[in-house]
Amino acid sequence: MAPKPAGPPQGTLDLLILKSLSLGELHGLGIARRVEQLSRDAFHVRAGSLFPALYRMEEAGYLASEWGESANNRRAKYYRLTALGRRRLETETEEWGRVTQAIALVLRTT
Amino acid sequence: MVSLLHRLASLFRNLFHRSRVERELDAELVDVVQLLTDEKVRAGMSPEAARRAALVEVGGVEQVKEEVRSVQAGALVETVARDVRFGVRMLLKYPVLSLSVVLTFGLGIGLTTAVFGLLKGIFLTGLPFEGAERIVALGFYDPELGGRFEDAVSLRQFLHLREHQTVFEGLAAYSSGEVNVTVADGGPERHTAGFFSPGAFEQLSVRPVLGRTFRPGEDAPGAAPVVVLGYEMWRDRFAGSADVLGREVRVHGAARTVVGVMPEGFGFPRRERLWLPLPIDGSAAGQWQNRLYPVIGRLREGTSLDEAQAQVATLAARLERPRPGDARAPAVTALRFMDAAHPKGLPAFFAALLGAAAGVLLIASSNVANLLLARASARSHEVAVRAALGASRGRVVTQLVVEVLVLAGAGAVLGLGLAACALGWITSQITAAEGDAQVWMRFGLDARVFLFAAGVTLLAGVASSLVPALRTASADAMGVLKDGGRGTSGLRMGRFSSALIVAEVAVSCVLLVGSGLMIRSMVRLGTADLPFSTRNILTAGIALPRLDYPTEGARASLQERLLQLLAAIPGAEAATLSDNLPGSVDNSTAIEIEGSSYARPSDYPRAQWQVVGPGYFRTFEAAVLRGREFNAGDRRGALPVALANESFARRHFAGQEAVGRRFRPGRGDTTALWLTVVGVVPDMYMQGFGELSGAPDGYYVPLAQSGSSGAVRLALRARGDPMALTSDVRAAIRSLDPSLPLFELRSMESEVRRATWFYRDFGAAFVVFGLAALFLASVGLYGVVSFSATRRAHEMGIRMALGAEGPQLVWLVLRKGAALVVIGLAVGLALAAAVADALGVILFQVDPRDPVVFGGVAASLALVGLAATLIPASRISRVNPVVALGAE
Repeated sequence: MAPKPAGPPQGTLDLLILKSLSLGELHGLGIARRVEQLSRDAFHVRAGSLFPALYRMEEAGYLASEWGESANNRRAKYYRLTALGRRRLETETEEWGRVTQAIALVLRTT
Repeated sequence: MVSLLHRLASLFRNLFHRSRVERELDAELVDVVQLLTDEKVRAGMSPEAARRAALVEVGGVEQVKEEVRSVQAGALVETVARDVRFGVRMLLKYPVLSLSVVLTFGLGIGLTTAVFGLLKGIFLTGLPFEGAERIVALGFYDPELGGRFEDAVSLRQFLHLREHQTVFEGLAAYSSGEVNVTVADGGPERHTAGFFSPGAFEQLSVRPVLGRTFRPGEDAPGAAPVVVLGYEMWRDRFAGSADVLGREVRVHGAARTVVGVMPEGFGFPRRERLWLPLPIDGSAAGQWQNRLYPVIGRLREGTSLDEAQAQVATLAARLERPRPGDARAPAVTALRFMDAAHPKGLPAFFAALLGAAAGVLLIASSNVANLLLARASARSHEVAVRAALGASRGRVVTQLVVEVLVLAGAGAVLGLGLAACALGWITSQITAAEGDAQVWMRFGLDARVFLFAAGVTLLAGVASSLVPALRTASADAMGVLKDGGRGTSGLRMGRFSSALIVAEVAVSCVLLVGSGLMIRSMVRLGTADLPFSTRNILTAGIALPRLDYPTEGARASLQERLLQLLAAIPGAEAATLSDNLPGSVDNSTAIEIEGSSYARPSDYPRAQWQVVGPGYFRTFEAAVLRGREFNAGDRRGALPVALANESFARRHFAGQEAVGRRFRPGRGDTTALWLTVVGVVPDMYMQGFGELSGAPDGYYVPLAQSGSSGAVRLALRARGDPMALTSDVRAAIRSLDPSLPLFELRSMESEVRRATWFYRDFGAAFVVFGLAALFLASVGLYGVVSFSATRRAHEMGIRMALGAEGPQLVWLVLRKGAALVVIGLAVGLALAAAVADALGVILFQVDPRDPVVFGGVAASLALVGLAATLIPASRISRVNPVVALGAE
């Protein structure tokens, strides 16, 4: 049996949410599914982490939301990136690149 | 920035539309569960199983909601609101503890706020006029006043500046004084009048409610006599009638036409009742000796104070210095009016008052902290349970602090009531003693006082609760819960509590020394061994109008006849007239002793001087030490004579006979007459009671040789109650001139009380602070020792079961309390010695290091400390070991 998927590493949830919304708007569950899909099921996002993050990011102005219909005619709240969110995605991506390079460097040398 | 705005918007949305946000969240979560269920059904699960699995996956709808709430912007406010509600519940749950905390805070906050209100009224208020910050005063820094700013210039300087200046909208001189006023057919009355040169009202930017103010030229000699009435006088004497303009008011017997009425509450610099043009005689302006006039001006729009100062200095430099011949005499300059009016810095006395109030607040806060520490251990169980249920440490601390802030807030309400009463009282005292206070002094509660009280409340609340809260929150939850609900055991008297008690004892020691000194000072005032008698003496003021008594001879003749009539009143033992009563005058002049030479103008000695009539020293039962006092023979045209006081005689005629020596006022002023000393009299507070020494050099000149202005005080010593002679005195004056008003009629004792109100009332304030401190500190000590004793009941039970005797146990508890008191006393006495010097200003003939006070305070604090520890200690020794051990 494959190991149980873990939550994303601490501090990366925001980046994952921003990335998953960069292709278009999604509802909450859709975001969780997209993260799982993009990470090839490595990460599993719990509702208890996802929704607080969504509300927080919406308040910070990175996301906007509106009510809409899901693919099979269910009502759902859809999130999309704002201009501020897009800029945030760029800076976070850069930042993440620097961090991973640095970590890789550290791991190589020791 | 955008993000900040966003957050603010969210905050408001969350606060005010909380239910809408919650509903949305609810709906969204329901939808998520629905979507998940659909997914799982599609994957082949049964609808019920799919729904259950979906719920499990979401992980509990309520938990998700709670987590979302905690990241929302309004969460903190919501949390605080909940804490406040909880705080109120706790307040009601422990009424005795809560009440004592509220009372303690109320006392501390109230006293501090009252002192702030007083200081604000004196130091932090401005003129209540439009654009008041543009009003400036002219004057100079006078080296003879120790470099203090004298806000007055000579008439010549004023006229010159008024003519040539371009930086002010205008310049105007003013002064105020008492005048006799007769309205229509009423009797004569005495009122405070303002003397304004034309333009003064305009510089203050105050317009009359009726008529006009003074026109240019109305201050010239021979101009038509006019008067502007104050609102109160218009309302009371003319029933507020509009046809008051053109009516007649007699001032000092001379008819004047009413031309205007000022708005209600207007006054400058005090609260005058009517205004007359300040008579300016340009021809007299040549002499610099002319009295100095306070002058105000309003800066033109766009002109800075610097520019104004530069121009005033340039213009004034073209005239001679204020004191010719004195090269160091300072130049005239301009200051903002309030800067000139407010004393520089905080006088030591007010600093001491503020310090005393802060001390009471400090003790109050320490007491609350100790009470909370006591409760903290009792509540550690509750807190531990909450911690175990997942409350974070920060959450617990916030909640405990907010609880105390609720109590502090209730205390603040109480304190503001207390402060309002205290300020009302002090205002009435000042008004009673000093007439109306300056127009800018306002002692009421205003926004600044409320703000100050709020700040103090917050500070005291947080300061007193933070340490107990941190301590409670850091208690190990598991340990406490295992401890069988007994709370943090082993907590006897924490080091923190002990430090607080030491601090409390030390601070109250300082405050008690302060109030002890004050009490001694007040007792001295009451029983003051004044060098003159105040018993059975009636005093009153009387002023002869220049119009009816134009010459010195006419005034002297009436005064002489009045004196004869007064002395003839049955029941009168002695009577006199003088320019001022003992202890209520502060006139000084430079003098020249015959036979001495002085190199520089500043070398001339100074002396106090006063004008007294025959029988002055007999009336006040002051022994004439050598020679004689003035008699009816010391009249105009006779040999000019003077009486020297003891200090004067000692300084200038040391070791020689003073009687027969001569001196004259002024600095080599050859127009002044030489005065021959005919007697030596005791020192009689010629500088007023304010001076501690009570003995400045001084001399007296006879009323009949003084060129008296006609305004005098009469004093009459009676065999019994002096006030019983009031109607006889009135009748005597009426028989001479029915138009003369008799004012400020009171006994000499009340006159002295008025002159010394400052010592008495502010002394009383310190006594209140001292007693409050003593009360709070003893309650605090009692509370801590008693609490610690109760916590040790178990230990005491064991000791007793093992055979310890009652007295041993008492000693055990007593020892710790006694040690704290002794340490606190030692620190406190050292501090008090340092602080007492600042109080010197308001001490009346008391040494700031008075050993009786220091010893008394140490003894009484030790006694109170002993009582506060002995009561709980003896209670513990009577404890029944079986009960004590079984109790837990």
